Amino acid sequence: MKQKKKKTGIGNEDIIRDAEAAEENSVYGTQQTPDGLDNEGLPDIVENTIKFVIFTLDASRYAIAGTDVLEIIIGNEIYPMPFMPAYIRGLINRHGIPYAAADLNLLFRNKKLDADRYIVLRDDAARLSFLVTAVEQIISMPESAVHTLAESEAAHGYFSATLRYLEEEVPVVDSIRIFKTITNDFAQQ
Amino acid sequence: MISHSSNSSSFLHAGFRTFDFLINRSQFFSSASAGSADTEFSGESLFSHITVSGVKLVVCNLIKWIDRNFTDQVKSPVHFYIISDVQAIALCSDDLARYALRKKGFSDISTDKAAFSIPANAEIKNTRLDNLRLMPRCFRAHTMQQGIAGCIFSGQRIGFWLDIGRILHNALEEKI
Repeated sequence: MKQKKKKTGIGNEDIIRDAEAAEENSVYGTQQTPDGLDNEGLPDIVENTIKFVIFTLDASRYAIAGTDVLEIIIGNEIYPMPFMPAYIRGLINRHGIPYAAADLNLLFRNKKLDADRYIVLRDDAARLSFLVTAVEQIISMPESAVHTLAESEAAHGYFSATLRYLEEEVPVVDSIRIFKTITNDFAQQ
Repeated sequence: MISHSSNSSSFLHAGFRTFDFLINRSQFFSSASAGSADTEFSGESLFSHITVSGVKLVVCNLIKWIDRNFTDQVKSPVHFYIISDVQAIALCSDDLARYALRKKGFSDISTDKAAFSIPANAEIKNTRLDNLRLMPRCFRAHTMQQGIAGCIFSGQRIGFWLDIGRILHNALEEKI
């Protein structure tokens, strides 16, 4: 019997608010100039920043571009679906609309994830969510701190870049590539 | 949302332990009780036959299909059958004709009608079409191909909207 769990949704506005708060706290958020210098007397150059959602699969950290994320849902039940590859754990009910729940841990490391949090992707047409252990933080990174991977480096085609976070090189999940992987897997069946 | 000129339509709903199934009323035209048209399903076969009003019909055991494909094991007895016109379920008469030719005991089955076994608790309900949802696009075509047209959420439960024509077609393809 599937356990009925309390449903809690975090909407778009909450994500933006959290992102702004995280920006304040981020090691990069207030670092507009290098080496602790202030802007006085320097050229008016402010580097663009990119927001990322930092999440974990078991103990491993990953990031996903904030622009890819619609909301984070906690505790929704997964409804298993037949005729699916193992990494599609089933459907979740988001306001009466079915979203696929993809287990990235199974996709990346062939290990089933025991979790009840979902990162819902912004792409309405795809209606895809990623099952994750935890969402740690929403951060803003200067573009220069994001290291885009060459095609040959993008392991299994699942990652587009890496970024430095808490002394760790964190892979950035490429949601478009993952969506294409899923679509291709079904096309081949 | 499924767009439709009408706001609601009749669907047959069958409830199992953790999920429900819906079949569009337009996919069948009649029903028969298991008592009046009893039959036996042997082994792993999805097929048997019944005789209703003197017409011998192939029966697709939907309960066994559900039991085979869904994680929630279904042990519901067959209590009645719904009967479909093959055109209404977009099935080709040739599919049934070819099956009848090859399967012992099925040579005289109707090729323009087919029956499906349904559990006891099934009932017809008016269903709001704007509550029916198609599957996520990444596997929509795949699930439709397998006979799952969409779903509907009701409280904590999910209902899978089945296309019985596709299910029968696939089952016949396996057997032919």
